[in-house]
Amino acid sequence: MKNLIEQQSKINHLLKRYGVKFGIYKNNTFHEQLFPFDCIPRIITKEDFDYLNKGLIQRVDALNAFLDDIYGEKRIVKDGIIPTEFIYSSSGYLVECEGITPPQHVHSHISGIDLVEGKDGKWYVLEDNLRVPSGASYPMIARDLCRRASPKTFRTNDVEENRDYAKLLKEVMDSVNTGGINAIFTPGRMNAAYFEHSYLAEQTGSKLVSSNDVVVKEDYLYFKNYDGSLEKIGALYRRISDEYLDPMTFLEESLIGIPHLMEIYKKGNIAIINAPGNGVADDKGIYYFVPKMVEYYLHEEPILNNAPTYLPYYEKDKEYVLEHFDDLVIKDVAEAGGYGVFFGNTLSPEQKEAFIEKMLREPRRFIAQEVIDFKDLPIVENGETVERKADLRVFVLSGKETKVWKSGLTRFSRNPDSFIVNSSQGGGFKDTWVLSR
Amino acid sequence: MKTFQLKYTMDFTFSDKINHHYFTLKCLPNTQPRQRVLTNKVRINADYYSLSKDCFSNSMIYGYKEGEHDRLSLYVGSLVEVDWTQYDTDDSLLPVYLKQTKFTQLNEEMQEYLEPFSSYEDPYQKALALSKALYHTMTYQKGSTNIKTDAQTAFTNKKGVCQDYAHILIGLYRQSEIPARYVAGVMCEEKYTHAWVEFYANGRWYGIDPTNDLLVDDNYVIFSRGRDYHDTLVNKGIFYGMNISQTQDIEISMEEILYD
Repeated sequence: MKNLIEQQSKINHLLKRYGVKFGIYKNNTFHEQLFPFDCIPRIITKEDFDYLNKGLIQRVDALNAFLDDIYGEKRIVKDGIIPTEFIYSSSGYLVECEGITPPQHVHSHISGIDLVEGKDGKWYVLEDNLRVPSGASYPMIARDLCRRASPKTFRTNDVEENRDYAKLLKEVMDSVNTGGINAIFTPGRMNAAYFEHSYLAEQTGSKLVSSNDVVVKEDYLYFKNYDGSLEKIGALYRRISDEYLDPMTFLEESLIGIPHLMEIYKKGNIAIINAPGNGVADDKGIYYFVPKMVEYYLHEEPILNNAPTYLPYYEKDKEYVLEHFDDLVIKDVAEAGGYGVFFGNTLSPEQKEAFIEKMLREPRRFIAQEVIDFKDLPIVENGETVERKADLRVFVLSGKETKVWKSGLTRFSRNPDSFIVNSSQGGGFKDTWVLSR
Repeated sequence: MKTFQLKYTMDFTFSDKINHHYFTLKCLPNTQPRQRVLTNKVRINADYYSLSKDCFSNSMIYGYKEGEHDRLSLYVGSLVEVDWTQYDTDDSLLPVYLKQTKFTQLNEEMQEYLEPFSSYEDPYQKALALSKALYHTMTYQKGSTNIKTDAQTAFTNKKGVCQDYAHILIGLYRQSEIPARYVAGVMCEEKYTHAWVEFYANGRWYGIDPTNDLLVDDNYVIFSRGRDYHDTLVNKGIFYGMNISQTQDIEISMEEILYD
C-alpha cells in the first residue's frame, strides 16, 4: 500500500493526460472539472459487501417495479401507499412515457446508488440516481493505473476484480436488445463526459454514435455506415438526458436528439438505456417511499436504511420537524444541485420563522432528514494523511437479473469541515476495493 | 348520431430546398367513445410514414423525407360517425389534467374573476356558468393573438380566438379543481380547425365550446386532446435548411352524409 501511495502524483498526472475529467449530471445540471485521485482506497469487507449486495439488488428491483407501475396501472397510488401529488408534481414524471413498457420491463438498467457509512458502522442510502448516472469509468481507469504503478499491491491484497464492468454492461445491453447492434449515444465530442462514452463503447464493443450518425426509418433506428448502408440498432445506451432525447416529443430545440426515437420505442423496436421518465423514482420526495416500495412490490423487509426522513406533508412528521428543526437538514425538493439544502441550525430566528411559514404553506415541497455523522476516510494531502468525509456511489446493473458491480466510486470532500460530498463542491475520488475474503 | 365525410388537405411550401425532413402530424381522427372512424385514408408524398399514438391516445402520422424538396403535401380523408350521447369516462390522467401549464396559468385578474362562482357546489353547473360568463366577457377577434399567446395575455385584452377561449376556460376549471383538457378538431361547416374544452364531472367528460357558447354535440369531430394547445399541435417538423420560411395551406371540408 505504501508503494501505491508513493505513486499518487504520477497517477494523477496520467489521469490528466488521458483527459479524465469529472462531468456528472446531477439534478439536471452538468458539472465538469478535473477530478483529483487519492491513492488510499476505500476498503469494503466481504461481509459488508455481501450485505450491501443483497440490499442494493432488493432496492433497485423495487424501484424498477415502481417505475413499471407508475407508467402503467399506478397500483401503489390507488392503494394509498404514495399520495398522488408526490407523483405528478415531480419534475421527473413524464406524461409522455405513460403506457410505455420497455423491453423486459427494465426501466433503470444502470442505477447509481449513493451511500454513506455512519460512525455507528451502519450504511445509509442518501440518494438513488436512475436517470443517466455516470462515473463508473473513473474507478475502472484508476484501478488500471494503480495496477500498473504498483502490481505488488494487488498481489498481496485480496481485492475483487473490477475489470468486469464492461462485461456486465454488455450483458445488460444484450439482454434488452430488440434485434440489432448495441450503440452508445453521446451528445458529441464537446461533452465533458465524452471520454467516458468512448471508453465504454470501446470496452463493450458498441458503436459510438451521435445524432448525425443515426436515422429513424420504417419504425427502426439505423446506424448510417460510411458507404451509405444501414445497420439496425437494438439497444441504445444514451448519455443525454430525457428532455434532449427526441425533439419531436420533448424539447423541440434539441439538436442533439433523435427525431421519432420515442415512436419506435413505444412500438418495442428499441431498448433505451436508461428508460426515459425514470426521474419520477429518484426525486427527493419519492426517496422517502422507497422502503415502502420494497414492502409493497417484493413483500420483503427493506434491507438497506434510508437516512431517517420526515415529510412535513404528514401531520406527525410536521410536528417532529417543528420540534427538532435545529437538528435537521432541510431539502427543497424543487431545487436542483446542492441548492435548497441547509441545516436547520444555520438560520437566524427571522429566517427560521419565514422558512417555517413557507414550509407550512407548501409542505409537499420539503423534506427533512436527520444529520448522519458519517465516517471519515484517510486521504493524502501535501504528503500528510488527513481525514475527510466520503460517500460511495455503487453501480447496480439490471438486465435479465440485477447485479452489483464489485467496486464503486468513492468521492471525498476536500474541505475538512464539509459534510456535503458533492462533485460541484470540488471533491476528489478514490478507488473502492471490495475484499474477496 | 351523425356521419361525416371529412377531408383535410395540408400543403407545406418552403422558401428554399430543404432535406432530412422529419414530421409529426396530428390530424387523424380515431375511434373513441363519442366517435367511430369507419375509414381513414392517408396520402403523403414522403419517403415513408407510419402511425403512432401519443400519451393522450391521439393518433399521429409521423415520417421522413430525406432528399431535397420544397413541398410536403398531406391528404387525410375520414368517414366518422359521431354520437355525443356516449361519454368518455377515462379517469387515468385526471391529476395531469388538474395541473396548470404555462398556457393556462391564471393571473390575479382571473383569480378575481372566479370569486363570484365560488358559491357553486356542483362542478357541472359551475363549469357551464363559467363558460357562459367567459363567452360574454371575451370578444372573438381574429388576429388579436397568435399561437404563443397564453391565457393571461388574452384575458387581459379580453380578445382572442378559440385557442385563447379554451386556454382561459381550462385555467379557470383547473383552479376550481375541475379536471379539464384542450380539444382540437373540426366543427361541421367550418373551414378551419377549431378548439374547445372537455371537463370532468360526475365521473365523465363533458365537451363545451366557450367560443360559441355551446355544449359539444354531434357536429364536432375530434383530432386530438391534451393539457393545452401545445399537445395538439397539428404539425411539427424538423429539417435541414438555411433561413427557411414556410407557408401552410390548409383546406378542410366536413360534410354530413345523409342516408335515406
